[in-house]
Amino acid sequence: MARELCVLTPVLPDRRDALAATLAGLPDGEDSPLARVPGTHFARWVRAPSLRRRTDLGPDTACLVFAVEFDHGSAREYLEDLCRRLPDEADLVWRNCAGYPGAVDHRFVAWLLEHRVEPGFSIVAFPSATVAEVREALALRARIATFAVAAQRLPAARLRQAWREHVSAK
Amino acid sequence: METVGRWTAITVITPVPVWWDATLRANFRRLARRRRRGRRSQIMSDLERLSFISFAHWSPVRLPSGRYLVFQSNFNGAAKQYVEAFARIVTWGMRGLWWGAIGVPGPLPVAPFEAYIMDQRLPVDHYYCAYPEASTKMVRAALELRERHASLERRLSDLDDAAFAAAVRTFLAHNQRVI
Repeated sequence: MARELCVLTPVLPDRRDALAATLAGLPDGEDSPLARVPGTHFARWVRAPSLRRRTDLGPDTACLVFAVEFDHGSAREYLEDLCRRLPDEADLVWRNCAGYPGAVDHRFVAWLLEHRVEPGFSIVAFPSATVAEVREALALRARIATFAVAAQRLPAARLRQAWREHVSAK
Repeated sequence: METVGRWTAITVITPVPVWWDATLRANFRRLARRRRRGRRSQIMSDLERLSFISFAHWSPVRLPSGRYLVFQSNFNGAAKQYVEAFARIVTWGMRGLWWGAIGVPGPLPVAPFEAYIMDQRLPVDHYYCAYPEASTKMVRAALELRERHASLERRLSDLDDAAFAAAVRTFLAHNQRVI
C-alpha cells in the first residue's frame, strides 16, 4: 500500500544559495539519488523561499519541502532506508537546514519525523500497487501489445510457442 | 524541473487563519473516519473522475510564521489544464479545501483561481518518478491487464493447441481496451 510523507525543514538564512546549488547539481531520472530507494513512486525537493511573502502572519520562514510516495511499511522505515542508500546526498541537502543533527543516522530520522507534516486528505490512483508491481505490469502490457500484433496470423501451435516466448516466459 | 516524462509536480503552500486550520483538521478527521468505514465522500468520487492524478495531498501545517495548507500532486499533462479541471469538476471540493484560506479566489470563475495556483506554485528543485513514461491511465490499464493475465495463465496449461489459441485470441479481443 502506497504511503506518503511530507517533511518541512527550516532553511538556515545563510545557506539558501548553497541549498539551491546542491539541489540543482543532483542528477535526474534513473541517476537521481532517490532512485536508489526501491519502492519510491514519486519524490520531490522543493524550496519554499519565504512563507511570509503574502501574509503578515509572523517572521519569515524559508523551508525545504521533501515529499515522497512510497511502499515501505512506515515513514520511519522509508527514512531509515533513505539514510542507508543516499547518506552523502542526504547530508549535502539537509545540512543547510536549521537543527540538522550533523550526521545521517537515527538522530537524523528522528529529526525529519519531528518536522513531518501531518497527513490530511489524500487521493491515490492505485493505492495497493507497489512500484515493482507497476513496473512489472507495464512491461507485461507492452509484451502483450507486441504479441497481439505479431501473432495475428499464426497457426495454433506456433501461437502457443510465441506466447511462451514473448509473454509467459519473462 | 517540474516535469519528468509524462508527469508534472505541483506544490502550493497557502496561509490559513487559525479557525480555518481547525476546520480543515476536523474535516480531514471526518473524511478519514468515513474512509476507514469504507464509505466514500463526494469529493473522493469527484477527484477519482480526474483520471490524470496519481497522488494528491492536502495537509495542514503549523510553522513559527503561521498556519498553512500544503497542497501537492503528481499528474499527467500541463498544470493549467489540471487546475482548470479541478475547478470545474471538483468545484465544491475545492471550496471545502481553500474557502477559508488567505488570498485564494473561489474555483469559479476559473481564471482567478487558475491564476492564483499558477502564481503560487513553488518551483520544483528535484523531481523523481519511478515510471516516468506511463500515465495514470496506462498504469491502471496495465494493473487490470496483469490481473486478467494471471487468471488466463492458470487455465492455459491444461489446454491443447487449438483451445490454447482460442483462449489467447479471446483474451486479446476482450482486453483491447487495456492493451
